[in-house]
Amino acid sequence: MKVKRVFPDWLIGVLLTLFFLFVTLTGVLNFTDAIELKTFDLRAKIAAPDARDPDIELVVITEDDLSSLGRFPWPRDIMAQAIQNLALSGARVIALNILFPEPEESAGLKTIRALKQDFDALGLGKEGPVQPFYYKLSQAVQDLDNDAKLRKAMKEAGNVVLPVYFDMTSAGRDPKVPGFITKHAYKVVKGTNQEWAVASLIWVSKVSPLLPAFAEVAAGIGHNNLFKDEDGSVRNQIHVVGYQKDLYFPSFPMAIVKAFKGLKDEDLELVLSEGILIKATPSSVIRVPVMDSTMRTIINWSEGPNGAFHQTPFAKVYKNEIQTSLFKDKIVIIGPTAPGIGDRFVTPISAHLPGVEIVANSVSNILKQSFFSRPQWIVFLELGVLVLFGLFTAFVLPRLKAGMGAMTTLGLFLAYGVIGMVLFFSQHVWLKITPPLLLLVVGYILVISKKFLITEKTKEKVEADSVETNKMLGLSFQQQGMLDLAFEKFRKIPLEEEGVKDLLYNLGLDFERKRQFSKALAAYSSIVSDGVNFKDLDERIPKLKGAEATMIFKGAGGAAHPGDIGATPAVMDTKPTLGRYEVLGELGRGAMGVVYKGEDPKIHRTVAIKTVRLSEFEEEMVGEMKERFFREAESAGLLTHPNIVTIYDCGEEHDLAYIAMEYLDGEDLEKFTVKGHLLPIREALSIVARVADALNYAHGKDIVHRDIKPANIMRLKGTGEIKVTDFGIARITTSSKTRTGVVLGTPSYMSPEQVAAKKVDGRSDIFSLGVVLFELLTGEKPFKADDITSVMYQIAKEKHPAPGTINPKVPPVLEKIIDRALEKDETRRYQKAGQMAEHLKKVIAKIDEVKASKASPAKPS
Amino acid sequence: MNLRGTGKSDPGLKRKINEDCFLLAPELGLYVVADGMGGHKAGEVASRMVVETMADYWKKVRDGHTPAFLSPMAKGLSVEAKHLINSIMMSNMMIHEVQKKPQYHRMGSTVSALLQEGDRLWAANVGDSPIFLFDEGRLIRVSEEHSIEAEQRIMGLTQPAGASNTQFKNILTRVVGLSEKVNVYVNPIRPEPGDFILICSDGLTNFVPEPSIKTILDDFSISIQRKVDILIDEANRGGGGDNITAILLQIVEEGKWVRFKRRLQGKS
Repeated sequence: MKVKRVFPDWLIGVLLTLFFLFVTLTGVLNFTDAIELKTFDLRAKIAAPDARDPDIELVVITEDDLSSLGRFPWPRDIMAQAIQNLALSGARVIALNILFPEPEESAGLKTIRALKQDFDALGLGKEGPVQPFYYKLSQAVQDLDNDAKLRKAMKEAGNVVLPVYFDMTSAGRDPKVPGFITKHAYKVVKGTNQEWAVASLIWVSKVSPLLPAFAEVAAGIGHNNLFKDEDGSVRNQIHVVGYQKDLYFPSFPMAIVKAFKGLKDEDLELVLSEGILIKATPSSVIRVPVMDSTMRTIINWSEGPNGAFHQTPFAKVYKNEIQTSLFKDKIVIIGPTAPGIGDRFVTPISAHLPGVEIVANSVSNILKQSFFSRPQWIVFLELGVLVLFGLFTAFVLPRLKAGMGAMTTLGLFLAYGVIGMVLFFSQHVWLKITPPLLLLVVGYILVISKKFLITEKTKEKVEADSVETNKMLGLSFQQQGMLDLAFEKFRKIPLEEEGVKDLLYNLGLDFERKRQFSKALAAYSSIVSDGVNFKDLDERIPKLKGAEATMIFKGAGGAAHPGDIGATPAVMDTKPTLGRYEVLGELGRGAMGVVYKGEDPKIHRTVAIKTVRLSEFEEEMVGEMKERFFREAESAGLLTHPNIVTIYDCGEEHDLAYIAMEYLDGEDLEKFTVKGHLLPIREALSIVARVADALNYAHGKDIVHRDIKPANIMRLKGTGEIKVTDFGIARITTSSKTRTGVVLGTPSYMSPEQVAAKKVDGRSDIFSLGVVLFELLTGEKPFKADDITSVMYQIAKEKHPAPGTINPKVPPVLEKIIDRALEKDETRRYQKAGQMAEHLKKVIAKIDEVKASKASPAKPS
Repeated sequence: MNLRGTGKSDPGLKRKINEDCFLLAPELGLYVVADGMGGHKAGEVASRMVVETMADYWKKVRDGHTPAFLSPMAKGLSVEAKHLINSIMMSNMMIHEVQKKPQYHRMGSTVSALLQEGDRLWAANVGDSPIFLFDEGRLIRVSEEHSIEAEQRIMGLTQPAGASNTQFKNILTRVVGLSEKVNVYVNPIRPEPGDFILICSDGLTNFVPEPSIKTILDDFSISIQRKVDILIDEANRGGGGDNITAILLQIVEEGKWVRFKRRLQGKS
């Protein structure tokens, strides 16, 4: 499993940072600006002061004026009259935000002028009788010449500032530089030696015409071109444009300020790419900052559109219905605000601000020295923060935990945003907040979504693994015989997965081997649950259903032998198993269950499996029963003695408890307890002695056999080895069998304590062994009667007959041993099986001695 | 490098049930000792499951049916080491699954496993069954001890001599099967011919002092089978209060011919 790291976490941050740096430095693809401008507008609107500027008065041409004075443009004498009135009321500067490109067209004036020319051509002179007529004619020309009136008004006022408009759309250049441009251009210009500063100015070469008659009498002229941002919004005032080759022409507001402050040409100092210095008084210098080398100055808007500057309708001024103090020493800007005349502009504070207000704002900015600025260091700050945030997204963010990452990112975001706001509102410094914040947000989203995607991937991986995991675990469980758990695991795998059906099928076969038919059926059913047949399941499932039904029937009929594990239906070719063992066949049937011959397939070890059918017991007793069964089996399992059969394993399956033990090929002693088949005395003694040894060993480990009888003593074929079987199991198979209410088993070999249902110990086994010895020697049981109760009575009360009376061959010494073993009172019996073995061995030795002496030549007596 | 090994388990004197289990599978290159715990018969089941699961797992690996990894594996480990960890993780999952049954509640097992990979051995363990490398008279523990007592010792929290903290001795901090996931310690070792490796349950180390173990291992005159017998007898003589299990492996130089053949076959 290789985890390829195609795209390391830090690469996102680094690439993103480089991209943002590229965009902000080159301006290519600069999407951040659009967002930045929006945030700027918002900030500008919030920051906009709402106090009125006392120095500026607007005279606006409103809709009402149009209705009272007629359609616009008006005859110019109206304007002349207004200027006269203003001049009389003491306005310091009168700025007309109206262009006067050509002479006023008037048919009457043309006709009168033509008449006058004709009259002049007649050569009648101006004296004599024609004089009154000529005077009238001249008077008519004068009356009708509104341009002249306006010129006169301007000249008399002496403080009228006019705008010009540079034509930037049509090509071509003015063949001759108009005189007013040269006159009103900046005179003190610095930084012209820096080519880039010069080159990055806005250059114009063609001016819309301005009547020379007006230009000559204007106190100041400036351009009123406005330059919109990409989104069509006006945010800047450009206070200087380059004209043709080497003239630097001021803006209309600048011209107004110049006139207002009564400045000389030398008082304005233009420093290219840096700003404009205005020496308002000898001691104070107003610095008009610029944003960049195009000399843009951001307008610090006052709250508009009607609030920031006091406005007076034009008609009032024209009709002189004004208080004279209103305009005294003020800048009066005349311009249209009525819809339909004059331009309106989209600005941060209003979507349709009249040009006159923009002019007023610009002028007010300069007078109040309130600008938004971008000091030179601001760019470095912005770039620094950009890089910092980039490094953060590249190297810090991926390592932070989700919560911490989010908190830190939010913290940085807010911190920078707040710094931007503070600088903006308190210092009027425009810090571009968008690029770093955008970088932060985009970086965060990318890093987090990458994390998310990767974790999703690993999740998927784990899920894919979990199919694999379930398979593995299931197989292992199956291998270890835990079929139910295996089934649970396999069932979690989607059926479409490859090989799942095979797994379930094999599991079903295993269930069948264990005769858990309903579970086998469940496994098979889950295979065909998608409606597709698999292997022989179309036949197997009905057969299995039939088999299951038969089993139930048999069980209900009680025909099954206790412990019968139920033959696998003949139709099934699977070997039955019990626990880890394959059942090969039946060895015999006991009171409690069947004994099977089995094999541990892993190690090819043949075993004998004793089973006990648990359903034979009362339901409430099963738990306790089982516990005892296993405890006994366990303790028996601890015995390792050459004369004790080895227990390998025990377990339960279904309602069977079983014990797997050493498989013994031999016969038990039962057949030697019949007269005529008795063993030679020496042989019988040797067997009993070995059993006594085994008992001695077991008693040493506190394990009592409880059911010593000839059937539990095996003599192996060939070697003749003796093995005691069924250690410990006896107890449960006798005393716990309550269902029939009868103690089964073999009371003939019970000790008096057992009969009295007292607690037994090893001495009980010694009594039983005594009975066995008696029987082996005589072919008769010491206590025998027709019914069990009588036998038990005899065991408890009656002394056994002397063996010698039955088999005269039994020597008295053996009688003594038997007597001692069969003592009713356990305290007078052999206390240890070892003692009995010892005595028996001594007898054997004696017999051997006698035999030896018989075999050797007889001594002469 | 060749390993010659033998192993033996003994219930000890005080306990009836042997909850230890071990695996000696030279054909798989795998040697495991597991010390089970849990009431009733559960401990026995757990240790046996560890051994059987691992044996089963490695049979599959050696047969080329490589099982999938249960969780992402640490980098820098060989594939075999990853599989060693994985096989223990798998045992963990299985036991954890089984211990959900009430009768097996809270059963678990330690595991100490040694895997041969070429000339390198990987020692992996969970719990406190130690793996020792015996190298020219030094008995070096190459496994980690995941018990509270050991961790206190590592953290320097051991109480001054005399104050006993034996009540923590047997409380394990990591056990196979108790939780869904298990953190397996792995450690690569490169023993040399003549060295011994002893994997045992704490029933040995708690009852036989280390110097005695050294003395027994250091005696050239005794075969490794006898050494294991003696070790277990010693533990019983020392009290036998717990099940005792020991696997003793001897590193032997492989014959030149064998090595040549192995190189020919291109195995490392």
